[in-house]
Amino acid sequence: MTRDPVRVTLRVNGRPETGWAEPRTTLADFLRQELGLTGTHVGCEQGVCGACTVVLDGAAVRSCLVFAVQADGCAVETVEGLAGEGAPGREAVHPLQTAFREASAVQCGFCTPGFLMTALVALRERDDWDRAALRERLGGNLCRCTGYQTVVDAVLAAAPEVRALEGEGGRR
Amino acid sequence: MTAARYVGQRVRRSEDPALLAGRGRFVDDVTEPRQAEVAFVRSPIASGRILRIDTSAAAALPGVLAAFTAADLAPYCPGWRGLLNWPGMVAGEQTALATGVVRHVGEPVVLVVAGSRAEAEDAAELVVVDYEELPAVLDPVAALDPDSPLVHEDLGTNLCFTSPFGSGDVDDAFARADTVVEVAVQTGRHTAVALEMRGVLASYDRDEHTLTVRVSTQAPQMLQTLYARLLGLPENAVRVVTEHVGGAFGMKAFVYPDEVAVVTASLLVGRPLKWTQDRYESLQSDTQARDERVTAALAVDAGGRVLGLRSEVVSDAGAYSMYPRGCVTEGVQVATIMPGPYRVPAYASSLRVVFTNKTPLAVYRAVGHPPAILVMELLMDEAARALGLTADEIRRRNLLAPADLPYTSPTGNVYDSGSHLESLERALALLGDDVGDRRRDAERRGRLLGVGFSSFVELSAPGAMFYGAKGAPITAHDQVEVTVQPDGSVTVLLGTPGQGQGLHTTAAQVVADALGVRLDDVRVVSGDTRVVPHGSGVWASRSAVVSVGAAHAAATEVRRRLLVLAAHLFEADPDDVELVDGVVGVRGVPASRTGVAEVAAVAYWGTHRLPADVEVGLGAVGSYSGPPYTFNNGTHVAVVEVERATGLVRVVDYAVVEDCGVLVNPDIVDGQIRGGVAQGLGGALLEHVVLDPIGQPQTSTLLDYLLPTAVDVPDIRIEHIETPAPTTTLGTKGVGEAGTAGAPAAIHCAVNDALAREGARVWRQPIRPEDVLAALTAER
Repeated sequence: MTRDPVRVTLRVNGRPETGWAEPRTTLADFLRQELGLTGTHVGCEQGVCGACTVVLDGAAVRSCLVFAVQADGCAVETVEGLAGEGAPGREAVHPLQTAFREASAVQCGFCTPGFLMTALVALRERDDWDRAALRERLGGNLCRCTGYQTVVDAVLAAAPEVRALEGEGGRR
Repeated sequence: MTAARYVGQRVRRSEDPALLAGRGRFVDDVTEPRQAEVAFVRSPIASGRILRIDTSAAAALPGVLAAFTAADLAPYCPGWRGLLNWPGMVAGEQTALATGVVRHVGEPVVLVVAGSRAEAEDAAELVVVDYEELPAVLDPVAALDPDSPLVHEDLGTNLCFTSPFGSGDVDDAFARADTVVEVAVQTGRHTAVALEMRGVLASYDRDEHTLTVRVSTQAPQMLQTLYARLLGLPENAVRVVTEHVGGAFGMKAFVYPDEVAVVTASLLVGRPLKWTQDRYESLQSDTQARDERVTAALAVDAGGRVLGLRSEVVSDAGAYSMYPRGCVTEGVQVATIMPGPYRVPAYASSLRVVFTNKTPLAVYRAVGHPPAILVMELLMDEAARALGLTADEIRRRNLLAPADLPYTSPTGNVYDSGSHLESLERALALLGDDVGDRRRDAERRGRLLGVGFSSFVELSAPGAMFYGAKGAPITAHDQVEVTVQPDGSVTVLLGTPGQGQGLHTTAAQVVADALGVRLDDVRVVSGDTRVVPHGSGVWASRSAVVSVGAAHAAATEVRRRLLVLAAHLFEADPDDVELVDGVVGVRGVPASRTGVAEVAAVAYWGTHRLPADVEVGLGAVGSYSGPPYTFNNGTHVAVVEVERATGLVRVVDYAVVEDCGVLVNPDIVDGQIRGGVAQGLGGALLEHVVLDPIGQPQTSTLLDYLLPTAVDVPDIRIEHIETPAPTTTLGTKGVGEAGTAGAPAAIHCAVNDALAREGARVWRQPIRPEDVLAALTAER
């Protein structure tokens, strides 16, 4: 098996990006190390904790279980692209980010990007989640700080606005 | 001081925007120019002698810069022992890399440096280590047998520490008892699992002879001191940087051999070295906790009043006493916290802390409280059953009432204030009166419903004697520097960093109130030992007491100086000058109003307007040590359903009544409680470090080591009682560990309440479905 780096081209948060990756390099490491997008966190590299969740061609995936070369030609959304462009002092904020802050759904913040991306896809699918079903849906993301209650609160609170936003702008 | 404007408010956290944007700066997010990366070769066996290490193939691999063994690092970094001045305590030597002997699976043996982590791991696979495998010591009771193999040959024993605790005539109490109940309880070894794994980025500057270590830790200044000592550097040449910390929970409050090895290697390699732990390493090398075996007996009179308590505690310390907190704190707290919020006239406990060939046991959130509270609450319920009392009634008859306070426990802990009895009554009200209906509804669905209570006290902010008097470089005090800048904005340098709980926000609330300025004008900085004053670190539940006290002290001094300056400008008496909502003026003279910024500008750039004897500048360092200890208290009530067919336990309702004194930020406090309960639920039902009969970990991934998910943790209802601490600056008591302290007992008592209807009980945590089924089957 060759270890020579190969060229990987993909769209990340709406922009074309190109980098080099060994075939064994995970998408998580590629995003973090090659593209410098360190908002995607690696919490287990075993596909369990969900901290590295990104959106790959519309689906929430664990970027530690995808090789960068597999994502060649794909569209990737990461936490850095969630809010879109702002201006210095007037940073853009996504409704999910606002809701997480308002609901006190962040403590150490390490798992937070993964939850945001999981929640984003969940809310694109439907905005009428009931609490129990949403807990099941978020069950693949581990948080060690909050006890989850405020995370569930935040996602439910953000649902109408996220739905409206996605309806206007569509998917990246 | 002005009225509280921010303290007590649900202020949004200043920490959140960066974390939500994915712009946090955790250790692995930072890259230095010419950085190289580290991978470790770790012991694959629990006990053995190292016969031979061959790193030649690894060193020859392209991209590899170095492969170090203990012999390579020893000249630059001596070993250390995790000894505290507990009478008779012994501890074996620990070195950065294993020296001659390995004592647990996961102990670091060889450190490999390469251009990338992948290359370093490739090289690590080529390192050859020959071991003579030795029989592993895995049972702490058998380890005390004179014929047992020894974990540390030079100590001549596996007994690390033994001590009695307690006071009063216990023999007499048991002789007079109407009823005696006994339990034998075991809690499963578990571990913190901070989502951000440990990591180090160490750079040594060969020109300046300075060392900079970016590390995910709870105690940067402690590491600064200890790195300097170990490496023979002056402390002013060592800089420790800690920005965002992705959870720690006590586990990141130690000197870890692998981290010391990376730091030492950075001196030798001359390039910045990064090591980011992976989860496989985390589950083998992070400190573990809660591995306790307790037998206990409670003597009560015919009315259910406690006469006396006995306990024997065997604490499985694992292979090393981790420096500097050591391995005995958990066992000591199991023994000394056990009497809890109850009137216990006589208590005798004996503790034995024992070395085994397991990952070191050390402090983890609520240190010792969960087993201590669990044992006491199980005893209460057994006594209630024996006497035909309800679970709440026996507690009501024994909980401390206001007239009992201050109360000195039989282990010498002083509870200066609290709401021990009231918290039970409030918890009962939260539970509601429909338990009978809920029980019948559960029965119809094939489930046994149980209700469990847990009334507790939590030692939240230990004082200077706790570790300091035992010889550890762990003080009780913190320092905070507050500076009003020339434009009136405020900079707060916190001696103690946050680890995710929102300490920047809490400190800003306190400073804004004490100074009388807007919260938005306050910026908080922490975690760089070259910038911030001294701090003892984030541990226990101390920050709301100690960091808050220091922040308040600094802000109060700055405010005093600001008013002196203003008095000169107004040509008034300082006592007549007031500062309200950022406006300075002479009391009763409406025309004298000016802003903090105008006064501050004079303090820096307009000093020609001031007499020579006025102190210029507007900064001060505040220090605070706090009382010898503070205790919070509370009562948890858990409702569980036990599925008869599978033995599965689900927590279906949970309520907390907590009294942590004055609340600075109720949202942050509630977050601590909910997250704490979740960790306690994990310990009660899910989390378990499992070893096979030769000490091989069976829980090496998060698929095997089970953490609570959003499906497992119910919504938690919280009520607060605010009994101010009489001994702390703002009346705060600290709360960070209270949820974890109380939850395992409440859930376990609820399971036993359900099972007791079938005559069954369980006595071990985690409570696995198979244990529940076995208990139910045995009674059939």
